[in-house]
Amino acid sequence: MPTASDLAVDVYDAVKTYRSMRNTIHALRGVSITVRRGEVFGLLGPNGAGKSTLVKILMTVITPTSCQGTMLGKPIGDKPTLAKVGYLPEHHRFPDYLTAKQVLHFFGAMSGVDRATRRKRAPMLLDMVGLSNAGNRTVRQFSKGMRQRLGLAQAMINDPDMLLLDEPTDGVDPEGRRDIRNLLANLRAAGKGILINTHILAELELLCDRAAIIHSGELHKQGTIAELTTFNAAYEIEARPTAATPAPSAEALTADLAHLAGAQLQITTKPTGEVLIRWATTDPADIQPIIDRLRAAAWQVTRVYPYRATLEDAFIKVIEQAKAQENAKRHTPAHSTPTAGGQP
Amino acid sequence: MTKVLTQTGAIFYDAYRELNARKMFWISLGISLLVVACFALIGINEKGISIAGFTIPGIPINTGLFSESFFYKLMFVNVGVNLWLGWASTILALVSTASIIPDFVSSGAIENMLARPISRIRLFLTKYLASLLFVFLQATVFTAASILVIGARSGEWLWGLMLGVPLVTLFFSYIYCVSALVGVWTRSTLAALLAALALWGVILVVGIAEAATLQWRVGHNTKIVTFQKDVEATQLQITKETQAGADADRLQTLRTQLDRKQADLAERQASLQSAEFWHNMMYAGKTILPKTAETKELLLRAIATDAELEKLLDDPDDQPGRQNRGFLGPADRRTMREVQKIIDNRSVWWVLGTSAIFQLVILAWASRIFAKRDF
Repeated sequence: MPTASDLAVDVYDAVKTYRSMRNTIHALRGVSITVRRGEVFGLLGPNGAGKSTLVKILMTVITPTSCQGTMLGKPIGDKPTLAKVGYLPEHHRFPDYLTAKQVLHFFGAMSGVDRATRRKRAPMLLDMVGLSNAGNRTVRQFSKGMRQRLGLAQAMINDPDMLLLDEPTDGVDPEGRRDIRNLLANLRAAGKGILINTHILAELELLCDRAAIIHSGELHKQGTIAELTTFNAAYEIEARPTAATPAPSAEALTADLAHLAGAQLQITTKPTGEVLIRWATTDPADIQPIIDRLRAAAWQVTRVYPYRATLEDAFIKVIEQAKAQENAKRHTPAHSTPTAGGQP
Repeated sequence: MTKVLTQTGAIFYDAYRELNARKMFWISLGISLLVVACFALIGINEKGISIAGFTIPGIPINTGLFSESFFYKLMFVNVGVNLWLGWASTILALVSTASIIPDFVSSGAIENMLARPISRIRLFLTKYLASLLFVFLQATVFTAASILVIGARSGEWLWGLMLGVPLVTLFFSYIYCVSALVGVWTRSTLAALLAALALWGVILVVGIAEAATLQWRVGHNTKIVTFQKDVEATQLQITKETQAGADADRLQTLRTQLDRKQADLAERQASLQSAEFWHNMMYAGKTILPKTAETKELLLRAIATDAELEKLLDDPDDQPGRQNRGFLGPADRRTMREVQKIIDNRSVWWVLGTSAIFQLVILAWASRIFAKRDF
């Protein structure tokens, strides 16, 4: 259990409701997350789920309807705390008449960083994000990827203890994405808390320690990547009959193994005659008898590997469950509150 | 405190860079220097006004009427401040700066500004003040160049003209604050610009209406005094002629005249009430609105001596050997002079204080919108 000082962000029961004459939109319905220092936390959800709303609440861009908790040990909404927080908004726009260096100086000054520190950090950060040769070029000459790199640099100009990045790899090429991943890994190693809001799940999986899945303003799941992806864990074994010795047919083998492992076992016969055996277990000891039986039956085991669901699988599963719940609620006569996520 | 200065400095420096990137700023500055160059060509001597050393015949303005120093002050105030900075340059400035607040609060730009250790109110007000840099720099360059040119020509260094810089900036801020309000409210540059121009139009219309109703009122007052004197004179004549034993027809004629004059007087007095009502209404409207023209006129009041200002109000009829100028009769000119005196006697507090209250109310409203809005 992490202590309060381990937590970079500890927000609970964040609610944001937009009311107008015509309708009421629930952008967040009591979301609670914790981000520890020295970890990368991913915020997942479809468009309009409320991810950006939550990040904006943390950065005081949006005023919550209600929200409890702390960021870097201070209440959410505490302006002085933002001096130690870095933020990269989604679809950000920098003044296009400024050069990359001027952007860093301007936003550094806005964070209260003194001139000497800015002068020291600006070239270092430009180098870090791969823009060392573009420091004196104006933003209007930058490609989208370069702007994104610059955005990342400005988020770090104040040497933040906590970084909130909204779609940090948006528009960045594969090489740039790898650079950003490496950069974030280094920041994590330096003990910074990092909250990433992205659609690119494969990237999160490579980088994140923990993640939360939000849908329609509600938190549906939160945990480590391993915890989120264990729901479909299994071992898979591939085997084929040897040509030298007579072997039982696939059907006979299937019947034999099913008898051994019961319903947890799934056996698929490939057109080549190979079989793929899938057993829903995370314990390697469980699969040893199957391997023994295959060998005893003169089948050659060609491959044994643990199977884990991807974050994308986990995400889709959670979202489908959430949608099913919503549909069920919608068809319940007592339910009348409209549901929608995101900002109006 | 250091952090506040760092942030404020950054916003102002950014505003300067933004101006640097705007062509309109440089065009306006170029025209300013052109106007100053024109000042350098214009002079005054005992024969009249000269342009590039050549005296223009037929212009009855010479050093006998105004001193060289006062002539330059008048030229600076009337042409430089009232015409150029107060009209043409202001329109260019409004067009150029109307987009500053809408761009500032636009999606993609504002998030990065709000996510800083600075309160929203301070952020907005600092940005607003930085937006006035356009006019402040224009007025500073124009005034400084004017002082240099006038000093070089006349040998008099009129440092007092520098007062034009804060006054012109203040005048612009009256109009620009509404542009900022509408800009933060609608996020539309066009709406912000139109709102500023509409306010300026309203101020002008109310100003003209107030001056006209004041003239109406003063004119009636003057006429009532004349009528009252006339009535009194007729009454006196009737008394005298009655005592002298004048015949009944003569007395009847005088009484008929007296009745007619008293009726005219009563009619004028009733009309005066109407003039007073409408003038009071217009004056109340003017008091609520910012005083753009009066703010600019404060400059002349500040830099000219009392004697110089009196000279501007001199009645040519009162001066022997002076030609009657214009198409107004002596009574109308007296009314105009009286109106001008009333306007000039309006206190600096009324001019600046009530305008400042207007601006504070508008800025408080805009700040509230900015502070409460979710971006």
